[in-house]
Amino acid sequence: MSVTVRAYEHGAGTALIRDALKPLSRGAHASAYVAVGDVIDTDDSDVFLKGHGTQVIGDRLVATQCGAVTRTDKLISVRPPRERYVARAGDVVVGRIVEIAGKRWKVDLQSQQQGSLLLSAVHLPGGVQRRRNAEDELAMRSVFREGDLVSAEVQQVYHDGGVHLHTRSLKFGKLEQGQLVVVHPGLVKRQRSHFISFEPLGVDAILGLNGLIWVGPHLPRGEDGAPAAAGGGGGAAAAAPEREVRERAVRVAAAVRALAALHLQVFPSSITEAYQLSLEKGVAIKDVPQPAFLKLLAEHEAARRHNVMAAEAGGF
Amino acid sequence: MQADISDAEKLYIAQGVAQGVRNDGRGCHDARPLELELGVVAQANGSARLHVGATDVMVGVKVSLVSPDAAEPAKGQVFATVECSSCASPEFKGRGGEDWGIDMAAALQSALQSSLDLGSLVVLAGKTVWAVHLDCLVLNDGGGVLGALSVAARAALAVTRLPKVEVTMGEGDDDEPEIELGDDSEGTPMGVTRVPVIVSVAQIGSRCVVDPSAEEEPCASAVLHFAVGPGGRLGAATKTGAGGIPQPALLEMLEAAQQLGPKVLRELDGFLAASAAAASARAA
Repeated sequence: MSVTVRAYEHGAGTALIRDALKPLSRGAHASAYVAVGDVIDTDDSDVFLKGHGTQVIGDRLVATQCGAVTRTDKLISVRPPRERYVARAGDVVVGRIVEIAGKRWKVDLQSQQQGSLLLSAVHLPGGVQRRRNAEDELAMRSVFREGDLVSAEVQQVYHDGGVHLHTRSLKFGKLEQGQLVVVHPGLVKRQRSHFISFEPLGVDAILGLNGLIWVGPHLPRGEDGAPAAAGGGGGAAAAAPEREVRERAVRVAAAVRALAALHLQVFPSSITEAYQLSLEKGVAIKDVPQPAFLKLLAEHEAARRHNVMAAEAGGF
Repeated sequence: MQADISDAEKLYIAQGVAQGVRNDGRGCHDARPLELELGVVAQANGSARLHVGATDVMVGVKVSLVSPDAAEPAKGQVFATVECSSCASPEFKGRGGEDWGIDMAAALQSALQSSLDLGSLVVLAGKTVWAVHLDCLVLNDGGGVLGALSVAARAALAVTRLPKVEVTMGEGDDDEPEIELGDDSEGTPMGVTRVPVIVSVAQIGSRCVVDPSAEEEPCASAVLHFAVGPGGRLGAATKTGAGGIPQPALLEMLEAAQQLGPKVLRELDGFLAASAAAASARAA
């Protein structure tokens, strides 16, 4: 039984990581980050395309948003640091079903709009063929109901911003046995696989590109990537994992929260490092996202970056 | 967003509670750390903002001179209002938070009326008393709002200073006495030692957990809120949720609240004393 009362410090995590990384800074690029009204350097070239967050005033390119200037070939755009998730085809996302609307589920992706998951874009339980009739639509709630969490892939993004999802592979579908951790979408980068299995721990994670991260005990999967036990979302009450496995899963989730508090990218490797560090230092799970451990984690990250930079410098 | 979580998540949480592991790594009887800010509202006589996990509440105390209630001329007055930001929880959308706020304000007000020394709030017997207004704001609901409000209210009252009053009696019997208000800085503190904190204990499955988070609250069959004073003295209790509580579980919940409550009070008083000492050191 424990409780602590302490002073609230606004932006404590930001301050921790900023102070830890300050010695490594090589000085920010002045033109890399702009405020509204700043003139964006076009490298004295008249050949550029104005992208999102920019406007041409006179003959100069001016930012209409605060954020980082990104250049893709000739296209110059400004990306705000805390923007909502912007979907792209092929993204792996985790979303919550909020509504059932004729032939499709509406899914909250923490994006600008709700995504939609068409009935024709899901694998039915047991892989049965879908009969296109009215009963089929009436039985939609037996597949996913309101509140359910699903993992899915973005099939297509329409030009009006509408996001269409699909769960046509067996690795996607309803999420059971696990917990959700919500982080800022900017912290999850596109990577080779978003379905992570921390093998020695017996813990699985799904890193949704929209910042929703699912962490749960490892489910044995078949050759096709389908969970062997669940049978494609059969809905049978799953047996509770063993206590040790659950503790490891909860620690992984706490590690993700700690990374997010320090605005550090959530990669499988960074999660593992934060997890191992918390074990080495003997930190209780509930204290992992707390300031004392965050300080250690920030220092650890600074040391890691220092080593990487030293290795790079040595290589040349 | 956490308002309706899926059945699968609820099952996972309930199984975890049965094994003694909660989703944030706490044990069943661990409360979340309380993060406090004092003096956040410049215009108030005392104020506090409390963060508990995602829960975020703010309490401002404003005192004013009023004429006492005819029925109780020798007592000061305490009023509490709770306003819920409609962004705090999906349940509060539109006017959804109003009824909820009224219930919580009633709970707070009755807890304060029975624990503050209302006699000490009298300025001029039968004529003028202090009215203490607590304006509470729920900025975000991350579970355990009532408990957070009670801690913030106690902290805000503890830093409140009643302005110094100088009463000049009139010459004749009919003349109204003149009342002059002094500076806030030389005011007198209010006695808050008996003000309770509210400890929430949720029943999930056959076990009970203290300080449930927003995702644990919908898993609970019932949540009991105990007002616990110094020494574990029980002041009041309310229940939310429809489930029944078997007697052994009730005793366990009561015991948990009576153990946690004094700890919260001790930690809070320690923090308040430390910040008061720091403030006077800065002033010197």
